[in-house]
Amino acid sequence: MSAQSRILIVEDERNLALGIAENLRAEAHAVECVDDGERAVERILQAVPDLVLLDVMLPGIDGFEVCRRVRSAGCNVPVLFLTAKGGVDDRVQGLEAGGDDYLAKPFQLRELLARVTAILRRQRWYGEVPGAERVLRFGGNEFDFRSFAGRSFDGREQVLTQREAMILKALAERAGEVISREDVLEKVWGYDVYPSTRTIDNFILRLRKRFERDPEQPRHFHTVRGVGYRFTSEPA
Amino acid sequence: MTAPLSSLRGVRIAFLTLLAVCVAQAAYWTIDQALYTSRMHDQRLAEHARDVRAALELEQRGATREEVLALYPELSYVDGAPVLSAGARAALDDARSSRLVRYGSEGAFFLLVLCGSIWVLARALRQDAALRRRQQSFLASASHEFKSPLASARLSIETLALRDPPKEQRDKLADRALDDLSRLDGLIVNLLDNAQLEEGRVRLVRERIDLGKAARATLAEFEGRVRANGVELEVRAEPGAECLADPVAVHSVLRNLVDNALKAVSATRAPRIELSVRAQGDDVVTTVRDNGVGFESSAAERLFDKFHREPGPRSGAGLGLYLVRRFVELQGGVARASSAGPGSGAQFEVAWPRAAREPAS
Repeated sequence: MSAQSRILIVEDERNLALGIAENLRAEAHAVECVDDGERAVERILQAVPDLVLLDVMLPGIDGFEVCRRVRSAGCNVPVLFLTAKGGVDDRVQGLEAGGDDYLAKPFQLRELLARVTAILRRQRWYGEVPGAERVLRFGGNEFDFRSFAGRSFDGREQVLTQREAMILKALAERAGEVISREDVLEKVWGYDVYPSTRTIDNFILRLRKRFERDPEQPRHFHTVRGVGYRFTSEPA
Repeated sequence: MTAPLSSLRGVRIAFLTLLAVCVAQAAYWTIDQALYTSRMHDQRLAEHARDVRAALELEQRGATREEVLALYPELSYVDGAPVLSAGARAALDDARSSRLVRYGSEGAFFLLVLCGSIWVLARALRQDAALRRRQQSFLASASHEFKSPLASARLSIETLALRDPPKEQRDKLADRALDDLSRLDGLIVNLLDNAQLEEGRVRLVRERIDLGKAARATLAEFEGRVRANGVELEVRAEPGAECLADPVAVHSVLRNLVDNALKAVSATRAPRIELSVRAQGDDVVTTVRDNGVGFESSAAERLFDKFHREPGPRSGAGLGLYLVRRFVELQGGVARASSAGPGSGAQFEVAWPRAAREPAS
């Protein structure tokens, strides 16, 4: 890891927290640990870290609730859930609560490090917006990648979720080119992809609803059947 | 998780339906009997009316009153006319009301028995459901309790393999892994002990045990964990403080008390645990005191409940303290907990009989 990232570990299992912290520090990250849910929410909102490793079973409020509170406070910090349960239910609950990724205990150290790296890489990729391209303008719409907020052609304010913004960025970065669904998954979800390619279709539909004059006849977000998508900023 | 609860709802509905059918049946039976009794009563009255008419006819044909009364003893003469005698009438009414009372009370008794049995069954079902719920939450916490130390031990070992750290760090990682393994081991032993207690398969023997020695031996098992957590440990044991108890039970009790104290101090800045053994009257008292999380004094009894977990870090599966009390009480001893409040540490005291007494219950 070249640049140092700030990572918050929320884990009440002391040995595990220490072990993860040591390993992440060895990867040159700055690490802080807290062991209960309320304090976690407080710390995250005080100084938003680059990544939160969040245990699900915590004293006080559980990890899902921590994530929900953080999200409802408008914070888009990436969250990697760690949990002893690991059932399908938990996975779904974690994603619904706004988690970015999910790792079941006991996990492999390499797996953990790889996921952390992937999430941070995604974060950095999204954050790397040259000043001039900070605001994307197309067909009367505009969107600010930093604030996640924009305005559509009809004057309505549009606040995108982090995922939507990332997909928009992935498409806009290579405007005019065809981008495969797999490419988008890799860029936006990263390591060990779990959503189906259908999920992306749903995101594209949402983007069309926000920014297309006629979502049925898209002029910016095109589907290239069997391949992927193409974004054009100005209709040909 | 919804399956057993919805099936419980099904049972409840079936129960209520059964109850309704039974109540309706009992009510129907009672009312039917009452109606029948009234009908019979009316019939008897009608028969007597026929007798009165027959008596009048006999009189017209010249029979004397005595002859008529000999033939119809339940009649009497009022104002010169034959009528049903007051006594016979009263006997008829009595018969009717006693029958009504009997059917009424039998019906009520039947209903009462029915409601009683259904109540007993419903209560058993409710208790069963409550236990099932506790077991479900126990399963969730037990899987957490298993997987967390497993994850941690794995992480320590992988770190050793991946990073080849210097000696000092290596020792720390090894201590941590050993700590995790000893916690896993403790959990497994607790689960087995609990299963045996549940099945009533525990046969406790009584042996002379030097509690000071037993305490030191138990603490030795926690060496790695005590070191890894930087806990200051003090042991004071009166020499020759011996109790009569089962060595396996004593070991379980001491291990769980120390484990509980270690959990309690896991987030304490300068963790400290004191263990003392002293003779006191007919008892040998073992006290484990910590400066950890503590608890509300109202929780002191709850702590020993099966599957009970206090909210807080490392709260466990809810078996340790339950086993402490069970084992101690099975051997005629007493287990108590006290705390000056959350954050003020706690004290757990176990009194073993010096000479074996009969178990409390």
